[in-house]
Amino acid sequence: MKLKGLLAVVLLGGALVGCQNTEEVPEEPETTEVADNESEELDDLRIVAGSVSVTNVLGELDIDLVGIPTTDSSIPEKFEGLPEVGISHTPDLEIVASLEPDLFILDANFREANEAKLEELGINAFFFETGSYEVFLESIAGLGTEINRVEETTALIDRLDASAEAALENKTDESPRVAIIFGAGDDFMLATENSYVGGLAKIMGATNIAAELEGGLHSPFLQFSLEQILDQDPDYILRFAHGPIEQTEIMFNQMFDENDGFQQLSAVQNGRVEDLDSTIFGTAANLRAPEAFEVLGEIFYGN
Amino acid sequence: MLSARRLKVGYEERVIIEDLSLSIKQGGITAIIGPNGCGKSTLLKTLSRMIPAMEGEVILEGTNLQQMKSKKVSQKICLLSQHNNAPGDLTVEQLVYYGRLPHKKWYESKTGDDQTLVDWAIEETGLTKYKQTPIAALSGGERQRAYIAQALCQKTDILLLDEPTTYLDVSYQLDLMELICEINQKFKITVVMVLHELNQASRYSDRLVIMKNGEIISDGIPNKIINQKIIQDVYQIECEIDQDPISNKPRIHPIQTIKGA
Amino acid sequence: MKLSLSNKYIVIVLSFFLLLFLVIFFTTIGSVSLTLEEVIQAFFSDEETVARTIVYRMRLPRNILATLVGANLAISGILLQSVMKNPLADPGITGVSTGASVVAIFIILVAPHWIHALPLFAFIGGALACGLVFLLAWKNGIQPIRIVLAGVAVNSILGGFISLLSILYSDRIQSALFWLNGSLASKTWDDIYLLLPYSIIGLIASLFLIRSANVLQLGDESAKNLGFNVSRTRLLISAVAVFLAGVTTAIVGVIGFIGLIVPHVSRMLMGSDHKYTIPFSMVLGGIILLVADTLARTVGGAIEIPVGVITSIVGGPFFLYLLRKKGA
Repeated sequence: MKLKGLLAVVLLGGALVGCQNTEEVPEEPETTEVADNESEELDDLRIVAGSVSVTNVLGELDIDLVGIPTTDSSIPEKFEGLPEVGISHTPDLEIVASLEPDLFILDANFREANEAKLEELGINAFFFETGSYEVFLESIAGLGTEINRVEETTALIDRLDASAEAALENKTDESPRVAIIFGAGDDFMLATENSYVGGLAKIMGATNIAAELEGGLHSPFLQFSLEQILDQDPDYILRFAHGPIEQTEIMFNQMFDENDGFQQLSAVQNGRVEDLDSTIFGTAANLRAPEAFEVLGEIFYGN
Repeated sequence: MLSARRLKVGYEERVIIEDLSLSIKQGGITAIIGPNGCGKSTLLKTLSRMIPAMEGEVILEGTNLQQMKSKKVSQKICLLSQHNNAPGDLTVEQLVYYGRLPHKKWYESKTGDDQTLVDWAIEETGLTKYKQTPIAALSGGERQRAYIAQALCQKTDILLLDEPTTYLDVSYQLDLMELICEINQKFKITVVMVLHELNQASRYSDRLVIMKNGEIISDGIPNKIINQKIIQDVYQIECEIDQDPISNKPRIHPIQTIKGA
Repeated sequence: MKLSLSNKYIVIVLSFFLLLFLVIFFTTIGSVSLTLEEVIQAFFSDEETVARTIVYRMRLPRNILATLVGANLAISGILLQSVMKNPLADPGITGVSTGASVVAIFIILVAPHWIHALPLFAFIGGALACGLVFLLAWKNGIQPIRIVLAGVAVNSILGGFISLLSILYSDRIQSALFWLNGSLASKTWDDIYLLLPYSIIGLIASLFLIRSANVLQLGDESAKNLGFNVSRTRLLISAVAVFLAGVTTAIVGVIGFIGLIVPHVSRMLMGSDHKYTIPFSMVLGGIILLVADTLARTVGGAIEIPVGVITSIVGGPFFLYLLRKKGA
């Protein structure tokens, strides 16, 4: 009797699964005729984007996609409604394969998890880095070469660099000393030069106190103790976290209030503690860098 | 045939048997009795190599037990433990067949000869109609008999039994003891059993070994060694002793505990 | 509830054919819907269509892998349960999963250029951790309770290392943590070729251990009486169990509850005799993980759920149910 039960469960599972998949039908792309036409430019490269930052970059470069990631974050309107290929870490390779892409662009963080399989399937992949501002620009350039849009990507890179320059207009000779605190849940860490935000600050001419504490690891984030910060006594304290900025403020203020030591910091006494908008300042590089430069320029140099 | 020489046995730091020697001759039924903790079970387990001796040796047919291969030992000595927890869904036949394992190599499976032996053992213990019955469905007495059948199937010369009747109802106890006597006489299997019940030991054994505090206090024919004094020494009770008219063995009637003992 | 003897054979054979059927049948199911024609063509023609890629290079290898992984973990579980004398033992208690995890996470975070050798290193990690557990547990032999205690200690220590690594490499820990929830998602035919020979060795070895596992069930003293060296037998059976769990974890990550639950269901139907429960567990393990993995890749639509999550979600409550049934 138990055996029948078991078989029933197995078959039921199979039936349920069978019902499930009839909903998910990717649209057959309409570009089949166009692909035959060799005289066309490589405009009709079939590109699938695997992460939000990649999607945004491609949107900025005004390039068409045939597949986008599954996400709640905002992506360029023109891409809405395209077939979704799942989340960055484990894209649904079945859907990707069914879209017959010429290029699949994924976040480089998930290279190891997917590289071998993509190779086996013969899917051309490009791994896009967002670990720091520099590698972000390098990836954009590399992507440009890959899809033969070097002009556009160079222009984008130039625009980004220009915004940095602009923000540095009122730079003084003195380099502001800054501590950048990143909050993740209950954990608070210092962002080093090797993090995205840390890298931006460095470009803005700031000196990161984390460099004094680093001790050899090239990690983007470091654990820290209050004594260390007191010892360094930075001119500015920048704070950011995942989630909306109001929450960030509350969370940080709580930590600062609970520890009297924080009150002794010059930055606190001089009102130079700034909370950064997480939609601009995050752990991954993104296209709002110009806004980021602006904000930092304002903070450090009163632009 | 099986002898212990100057045994010292214990568990970790606790020494239970200090310096014990005992010789078991072929044939015959030997019963070992004594109060709880006197070391009788420990002795039995050491005789069958369940527990290693700290000092001293156990000799089986001239060879030191420690130097024999386990399989060889199990072809010669069978120990039926006090607690047996075989899975309840084993049939009697399956349980009894396990007794053949000491004689089989790891790649050998059940042969016709094995089956014959299994059937024989089951018949000798009167369990033929229970052959396919799961042992969980048997009564305590029947289950013990199934284990005896397994022991028979093991075809050893020596059978050691650790309190085989302690958990059984009286009628099953008598049944079992009768069976053991039968086995001993019919198949000439040497039996050494640890018993809890004095009268059982007296009635069913040819030789009695009385232990206390890890030592053998007395050793001999029940008729010769059982007396009021020794019962008093070992068990701290006053008793009356008379002769069992059927078995002609001493019968002990406890009267009262000795005050201040 | 238990089956009669002839029924047992029938069930095992039928289940085996069911497994084969499901491996093929489930290639028709997935995120992308294919017609039956397309699937059949994918199998029989060499033509490079999307259907062929999906069926032949994605679903089929994945199903085969699921079967292999399920069988390995189930056998690892049943062998370990015979050693531990506890029907609620899971291969994880030996430290093999945590050991493999620590090494795998270390490689992913600190030495990603060694990623190609990850299965080998992860296996070594698992084997070392397990060796440590048994070394600590050894005292004039192996008692199950000591294995449990040593396992708890070693698992804690290794867990601490994993936490440490996640603090030091907090930015990339996401990637590593995904590995902890075992998944069959991006596994290749190479992974199968790697796992296959070891699986076969381990599974065949388990067949030779049927008698030993049965004898251990009789109790330590009974087993010794029958001439078995109990500690050595325990070590041998554990070695095979750990080997199977180790190679599997090294390649697909940590997948829980299969080793715990499949043997139990197997025993419910087949009784205590390993002559039936071991072969049946192989097949049943394959079926259950295959179903779980198929659910994992279809239930979330485009989102790939790691199969380890499915087995935990379903396995957890089932485990509690088993606990209650045992009348604890």
